[in-house]
Amino acid sequence: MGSYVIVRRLATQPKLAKAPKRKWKSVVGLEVHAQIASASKLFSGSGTAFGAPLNTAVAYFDASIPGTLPVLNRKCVESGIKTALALGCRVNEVSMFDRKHYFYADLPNGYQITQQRAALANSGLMTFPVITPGKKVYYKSVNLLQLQLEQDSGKSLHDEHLKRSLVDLNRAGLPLMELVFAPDLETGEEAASLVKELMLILKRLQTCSCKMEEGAMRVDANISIHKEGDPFGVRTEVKNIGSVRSISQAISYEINRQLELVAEGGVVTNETRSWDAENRRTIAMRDKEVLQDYRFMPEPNLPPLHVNLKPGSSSTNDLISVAALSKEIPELPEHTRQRLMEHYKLNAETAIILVNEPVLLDHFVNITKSLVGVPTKLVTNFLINDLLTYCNKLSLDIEDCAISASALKDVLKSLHAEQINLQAARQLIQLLHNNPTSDVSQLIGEHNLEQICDMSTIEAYCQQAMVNQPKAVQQYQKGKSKALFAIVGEVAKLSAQKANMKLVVNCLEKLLKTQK
Amino acid sequence: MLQISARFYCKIAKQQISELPKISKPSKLLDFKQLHHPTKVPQTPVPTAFPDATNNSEIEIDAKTIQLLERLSLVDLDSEQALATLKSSIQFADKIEHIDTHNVRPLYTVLEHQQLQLRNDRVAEGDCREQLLRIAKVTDEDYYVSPPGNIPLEQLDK
Repeated sequence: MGSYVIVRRLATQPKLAKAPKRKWKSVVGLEVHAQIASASKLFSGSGTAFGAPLNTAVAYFDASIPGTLPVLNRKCVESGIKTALALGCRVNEVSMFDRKHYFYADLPNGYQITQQRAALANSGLMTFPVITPGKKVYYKSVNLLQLQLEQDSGKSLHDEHLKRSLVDLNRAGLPLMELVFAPDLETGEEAASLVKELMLILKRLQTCSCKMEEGAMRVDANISIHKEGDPFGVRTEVKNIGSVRSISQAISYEINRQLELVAEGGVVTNETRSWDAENRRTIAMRDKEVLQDYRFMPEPNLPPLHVNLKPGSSSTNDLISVAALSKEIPELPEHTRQRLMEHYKLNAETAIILVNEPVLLDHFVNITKSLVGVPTKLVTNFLINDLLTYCNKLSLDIEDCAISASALKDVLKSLHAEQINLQAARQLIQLLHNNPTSDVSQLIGEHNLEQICDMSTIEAYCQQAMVNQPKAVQQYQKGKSKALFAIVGEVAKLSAQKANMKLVVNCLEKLLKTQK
Repeated sequence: MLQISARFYCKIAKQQISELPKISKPSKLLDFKQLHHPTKVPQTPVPTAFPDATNNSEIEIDAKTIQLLERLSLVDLDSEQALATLKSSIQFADKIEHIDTHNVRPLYTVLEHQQLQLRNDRVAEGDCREQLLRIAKVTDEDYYVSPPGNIPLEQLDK
């Protein structure tokens, strides 16, 4: 997107086009906050359920009642380590907690407990496929600088009218992993693809629900532009990105904004901007006039966190073994893609789509397991081109589509046996979606979807179609073979899309030949 | 008053941690039984070994710095007494400036060689909203009420 924009700008501004050919480059770095899936908070024993009644999931510690102390949640450390291992990080034998001070009412301590000097893990690498509409899929690698554990803050509702904030502390103290990625990305699509892959990995590991709509995953993007060969430009930070789609939109918008600003002779300032999803733009936030001083200091209430790095070790009460956790890492998305490509001979694009939609992948595996002899291509085409497209049209998340794998299997079985054609199969998706419990063969009977294979019926349709389309018949007989499609289309119409098209084509060719 | 159950957030490492060249020295694990004195704080006044800094020239703090400090600490430094306290605090801290800490690894906590105690992931607290809301100065419905925080600029202009 970035480079596309530049091309367009250059085309419309001849002055710039004559300038030296050094291109503008955009640089994007991401910081992702992922809420660790846990029953209780990072340092206290209060619950983490989303949507709990206001201020009920708050322990004395979360409300910073004097005398309370943090006690670290073992599961959060384990989840952090698992995630770090899956992302190829170096897990640190000793990590420490720090206080980061700032005054917002949603963090009543006046500081957040985080890891600044010595994080849980560093130096990871993530490789993921980048999907840009209309372009070939390519792989991108991004360095993961740091993975740290920290507390979330509470939630403030701003009452503009009465100039006050309403504070709900349910979220205060929830466990987060902050993943700091190196600025190795260039476009919004790359950033969105990274987050998509990260979501797949975290869901496999079950370390985060990745529900952005619930705030369980939040993405901040650092964006700057510079001329090729120059050092990086001044960056802006875009916060409040609430969906995967918004990531690419927000970043593309911000790159454009900076390019336009600079083209008009302006200067990009280091500021925090908020993504306004409704109006699709970034807006400046009230910010630090002076560089914020967080006054980091070691958290005196928490001694350093030690983990056991010895190979072959096992975990004890207070000492977690990294080797033991590494055995619990499931198959990761990239491995699944490779397996799909090798085992089922799928192409890369198909494998990527299936892995991106875990429900689709389950369907695929179940169907191919129980339907021997049906080509995988037929199954993937049906799942992707028909089922997924149907859901997309309805703006329905495929996860919420109630059609079972066994129903889909029955549809595919009929389709493969040529009992029904593709049109009927599509109709069945709709019928099954509205009525997930119904039986496929019954539906075929009830709605008269069976494909017409009877030769005499087909011949009658063909004769009729040739009468209806005399022009096409003429053209065909003059050697314009494409004219056949018009006659085939006529048969489809006459038979209410139910004629077996393979037989129709054969029959038509025969009839047209004899007529000659 | 609220009852806060005693919690021990760390305990002495039972397992020896090896291969920690920098931080962990197993031989120096704290053994509370070996401590002869309950506190390291002298029980009677001791003459200070530090040079007296009070004679040094008056500390100057410019208005901008004061504003920054006020914002960071949320402490009002308008009154003369508050300013005097700030200055004397700086002077007090200056007393250790002459100590050479070059190449000395900072000690973050005396519990460095202890193992951090971990808690099982279980909901055991919370659900004390009424009790906590009662302590707050201003509440509305079930919210705590505070002055406005970080708001996008455009929202402010409205």
